[in-house]
Amino acid sequence: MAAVACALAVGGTVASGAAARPAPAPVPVAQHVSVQPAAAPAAPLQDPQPLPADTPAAGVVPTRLLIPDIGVDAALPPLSLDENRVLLPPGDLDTAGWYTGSAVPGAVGPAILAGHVDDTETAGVFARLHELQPGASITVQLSDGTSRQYRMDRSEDVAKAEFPTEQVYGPTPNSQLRIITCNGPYDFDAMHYRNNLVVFAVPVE
Amino acid sequence: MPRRSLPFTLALALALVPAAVAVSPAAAADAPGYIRVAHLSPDTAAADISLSALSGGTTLYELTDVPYGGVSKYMTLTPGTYALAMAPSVAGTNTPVVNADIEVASGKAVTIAAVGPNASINIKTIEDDLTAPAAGTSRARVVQASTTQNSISVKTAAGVQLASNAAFGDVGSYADVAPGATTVTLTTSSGDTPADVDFADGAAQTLFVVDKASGGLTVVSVLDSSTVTETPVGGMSTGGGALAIAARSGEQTLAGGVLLAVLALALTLAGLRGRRAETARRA
Repeated sequence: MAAVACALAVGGTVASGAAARPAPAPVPVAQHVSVQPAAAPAAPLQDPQPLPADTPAAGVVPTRLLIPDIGVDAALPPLSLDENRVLLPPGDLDTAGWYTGSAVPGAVGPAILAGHVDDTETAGVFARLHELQPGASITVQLSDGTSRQYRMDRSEDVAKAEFPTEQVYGPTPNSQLRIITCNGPYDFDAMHYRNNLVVFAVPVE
Repeated sequence: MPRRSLPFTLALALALVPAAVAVSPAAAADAPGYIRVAHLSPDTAAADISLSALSGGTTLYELTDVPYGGVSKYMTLTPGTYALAMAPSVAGTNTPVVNADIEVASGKAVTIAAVGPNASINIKTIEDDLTAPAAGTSRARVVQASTTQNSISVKTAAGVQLASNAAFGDVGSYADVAPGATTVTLTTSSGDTPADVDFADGAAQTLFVVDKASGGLTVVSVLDSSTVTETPVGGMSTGGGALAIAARSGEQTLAGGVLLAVLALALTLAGLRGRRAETARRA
């Protein structure tokens, strides 16, 4: 039996320059590895072929949000930040919105959707968001006619003053959704809700 | 090529180093881990790759016909140990049968790559970046997976050195790069090879340097993670209070109703007592 050489140390080619960061520490992820080489003869080198990706093409944007469990079927106009970098809600009570600085649903990263729970007189698009349960189906339609499926993972009712920025906007290794609205307790003097409700959703695979 | 009838088993002894990644307790409670697989053995045929629960053997993910150069999306897994299996997509081809136990750690993203020439193919585990780049930047690193060159340097058009004389299997550190489409130059003793890349704003990516059929080099670029391009400050105002006001006025109506009932009862009792008093006085 010929020995199969395996050099598995996670080596470090040091990237130079001030911007270089230390390599992440290795973790013990693969154990009891067995490699049983094939009997077939060696083949010539091949050209690498990337796997087909279902990432939306450049310029594709989300257009509609569907959450059947709570009767949401809403448009997703673009949302932006104000001069203080605060995310502006949609102008319309009945539409949700997509933050243009976040991922397009289907692309790697968190896609940030937001909408009103109410205004001073009427219930808004996310009036029933607090009723949504983990596992609930969420669909985002895109401008290219395709759609992406998600399921609710969890929700968090957070004080606006202690908004979990890293959890909501931080990096993700796959396509995820964050759906943000307001939540009680309502401050009758300041006339705003003290909390934000954030629904976290993960792709259906 | 000699026939090898016995499986060659090896154990990986990689030290566990706790990562200094701040994760809020709420997210850390049952945060999943992420695994992706990569086929980077240039003379090995396509593979079927599956991830199964160690107990019970339920197949959780199954990838079929992963060609050389194929890097999967991340598969989301509850922390724990899983069985990874790789097998030929087409019987009789030279894809080896590989089995490994994969430990998935909460909040970690890892690439499991089949690397090396077919005759000495092995499994390499690489931890990927899940931390946010500074605002307005991108982050990139090089994994040297070429089986034909053992010393490769990689530099971006803007002059950021991503690898210096990297040997086969070397994993570079992430470096900050300017977002946008650009060219990297792969330098070996036999010359320079340009490769087009597109660094995504707010993202971390890995450039796998791999062999081409011609014997030359190229880059397979994949996203490791991505965040928003500009992080909003704080929460947002998405309520005017109608529902809260309605809820409170409902409470007031209810409270008012109770008050009226109590008042009515009190008046009735007072009336009764009054009548009794009158009666008594009359008596």
